[in-house]
Amino acid sequence: MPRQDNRHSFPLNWRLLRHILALYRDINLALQEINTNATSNSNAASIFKKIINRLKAINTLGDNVSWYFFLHIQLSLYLSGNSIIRNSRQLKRFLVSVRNALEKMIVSKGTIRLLRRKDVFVNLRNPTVSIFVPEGFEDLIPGYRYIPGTLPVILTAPHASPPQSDINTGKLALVIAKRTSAYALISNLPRFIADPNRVLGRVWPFRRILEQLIAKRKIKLIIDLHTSSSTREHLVEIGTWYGFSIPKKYLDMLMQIFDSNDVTYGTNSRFVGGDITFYHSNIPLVSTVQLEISGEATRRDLRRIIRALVKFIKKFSGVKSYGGLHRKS
Amino acid sequence: MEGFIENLKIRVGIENELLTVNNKGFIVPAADLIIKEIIDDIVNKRIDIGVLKRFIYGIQWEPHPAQLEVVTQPLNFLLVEKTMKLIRTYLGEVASRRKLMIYAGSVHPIQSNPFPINGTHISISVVPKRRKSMPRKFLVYVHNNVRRYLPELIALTANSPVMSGEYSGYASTRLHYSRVLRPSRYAIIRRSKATIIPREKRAILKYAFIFTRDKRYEHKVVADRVGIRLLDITPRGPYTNIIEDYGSGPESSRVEIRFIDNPSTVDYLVDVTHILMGIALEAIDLLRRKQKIVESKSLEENRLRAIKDGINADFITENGDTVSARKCVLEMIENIRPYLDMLGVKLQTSLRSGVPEIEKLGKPKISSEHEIIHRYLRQGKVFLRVKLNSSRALITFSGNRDSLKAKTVFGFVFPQYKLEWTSFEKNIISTFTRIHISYWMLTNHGYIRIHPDDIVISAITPIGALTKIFSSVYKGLLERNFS
Repeated sequence: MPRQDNRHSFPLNWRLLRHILALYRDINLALQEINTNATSNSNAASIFKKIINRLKAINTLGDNVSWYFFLHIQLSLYLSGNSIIRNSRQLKRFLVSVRNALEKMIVSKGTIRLLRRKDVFVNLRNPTVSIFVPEGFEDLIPGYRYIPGTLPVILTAPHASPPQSDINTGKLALVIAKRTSAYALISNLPRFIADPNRVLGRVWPFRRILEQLIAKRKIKLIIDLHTSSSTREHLVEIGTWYGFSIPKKYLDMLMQIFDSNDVTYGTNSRFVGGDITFYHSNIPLVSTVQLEISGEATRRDLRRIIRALVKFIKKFSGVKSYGGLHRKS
Repeated sequence: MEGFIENLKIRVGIENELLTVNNKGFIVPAADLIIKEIIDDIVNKRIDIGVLKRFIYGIQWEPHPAQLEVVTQPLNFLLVEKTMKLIRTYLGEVASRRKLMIYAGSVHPIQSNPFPINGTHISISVVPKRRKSMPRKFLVYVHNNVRRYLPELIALTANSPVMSGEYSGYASTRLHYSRVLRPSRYAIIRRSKATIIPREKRAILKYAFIFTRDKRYEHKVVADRVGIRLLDITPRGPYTNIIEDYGSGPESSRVEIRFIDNPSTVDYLVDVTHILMGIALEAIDLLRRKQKIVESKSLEENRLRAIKDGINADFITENGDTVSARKCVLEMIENIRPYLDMLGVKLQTSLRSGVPEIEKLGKPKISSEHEIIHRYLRQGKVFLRVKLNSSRALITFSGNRDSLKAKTVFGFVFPQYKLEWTSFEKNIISTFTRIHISYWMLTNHGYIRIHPDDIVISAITPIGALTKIFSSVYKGLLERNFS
């Protein structure tokens, strides 16, 4: 079958953005309506009717638009279907997740590219090649090492396995998890076979187990550990997906602890965060932060980083109130 | 034609783009790793850099992290085969040390969508013996003669029919989707007082105009009005209006041909180079005989037809009739044969009889275990309700296998690809021969392998699934209050 040529679909991108903005507005209205605890649900119902109609309109824009939504919204939400919403608390959680995803759609570079390029839908990935596995997939399961913990924090090291591994990240995750009783998830598969920090990696067990832990409300913070291969200005680059993945108060807490432990850092300079930072931070109350440690860090530097992260995890876990269903930014 | 060839020096330069892939044939961003290995070899003197640098200008990164580009020095045409074999053997060996492979084709059958795209750029320079550089008139004639044969050459070399796991409908998917390879125009020599720098190139030279120095006018070879470098055929060097070449030396004067899809093997690459050399010599002969190269009216139409149907295309002739591309290709080969004979060159591959590489080696065969699922996924319907026809294992995320009875399951379905390929050089994938697709379903509890006899009950897109969730909330709101 010849591939459909969508080179002349420029106005479609703008229509999509208009729909996304309207959807974002409607979901905020729905949240406000639910938060006011109104005795009647008729107002909320009318807003939901609008949202449904809007989604139906978006669905007519094309297969790729549907896929664009898929890339932003949690897979577990789709898989659970109707069963995830039984009470207003679950409804709020669901709406906040969708809203967070829409926020990212609005500000993401991808959207900006969408609007600039005329032939964007040619370039947008489709389901059959965006998420796939190579032959022998079942032999590669599980492909990770899991360290259970008691604190609501997980350290992930998706590139811990050679070749071209992020050196020390596996060890760092282990040491910090041991000292703090945090969870740890370390990949055993080289990134050349499965890269859990990519969209392609979302179906691999590493990401599924992470999403399961989040769904069971065991995790409130993901610290995604990486190492940059080249020289960097700072010892650690903090990636928060332009401030969307972690509330400011926790970021300030992390920076303060880094300051007091002589760990130099930069924020969102180049490493804004990979797919783990991007994707899992859509869930309300879950924060993610990517730490890109300089490849030239000495043992002493690493010890300082460990000390700082142990302090941060303990301080984070000691915070009893998370401030309700706050917005991340 | 006596003595014609003796008075000319022919130099060929090749830029060959390659992809790094893992041992299952999938693209991996390992260009950095290969470059590091090469640097290690140079530092530890495992390779003779003296020999290498005689032939190779450089191995460089490309924008995609899996892409490598090998650039040769301007070579005597007799050294092309040796050089390309030398560098490709070496790259294959370096990749094998890291358990990687090199893919030599243009478009990866699964992961190019349509980027990353590889191409082979062949630069030809024909210089009179008493001169140091290719003169302007030579540039114009060689450019225009290659351009005259553009549809034939595309038909002969197009070999990227598969993209994103399916036939794209184009013989050269690369040329169809490439944003940078704009068609060049008929080249002419234009007299101008100043070079106008296009706005997007002003960052390079920081000027809007550059005036000629001592001369009143400068003669520039112009194949594109604004001096854009990325065309399918481009005259290059200081005699052209290409902004990037403004300060280059006269020895870099050449015609660069970019429209060639990556030949899978060195033999085909060498033959394509020889054909281009033949066309270049024919151009010089036409110039010598003071014959004009006439621009064909249907060149653009034939180019598009060649991109679409390759050697099976029908070209439009000057009088409006159609003629098969195969016949035109054979005519072209006949036209250049005397020049190749003068050089003592014989085409070694099927190209000599007008049979392109893709016809000789065959298109990749695509087979799907479940045609209905394949169709649904292409439509973006990735959430499927499937009735399992037999019991099977549910593989949990921790790797345990639970038994699952035959029942209806709902989940996200994704493909598993098995790629098969042919290698003519060690550790280098020349061409993919087969793509086999099977399917897995991801549920909240684990993975289920979908069998060909399982029945799809319903399929829904992500937005459809989201609409369903909102609809159930809406119904809930109408029926009762959420507490």
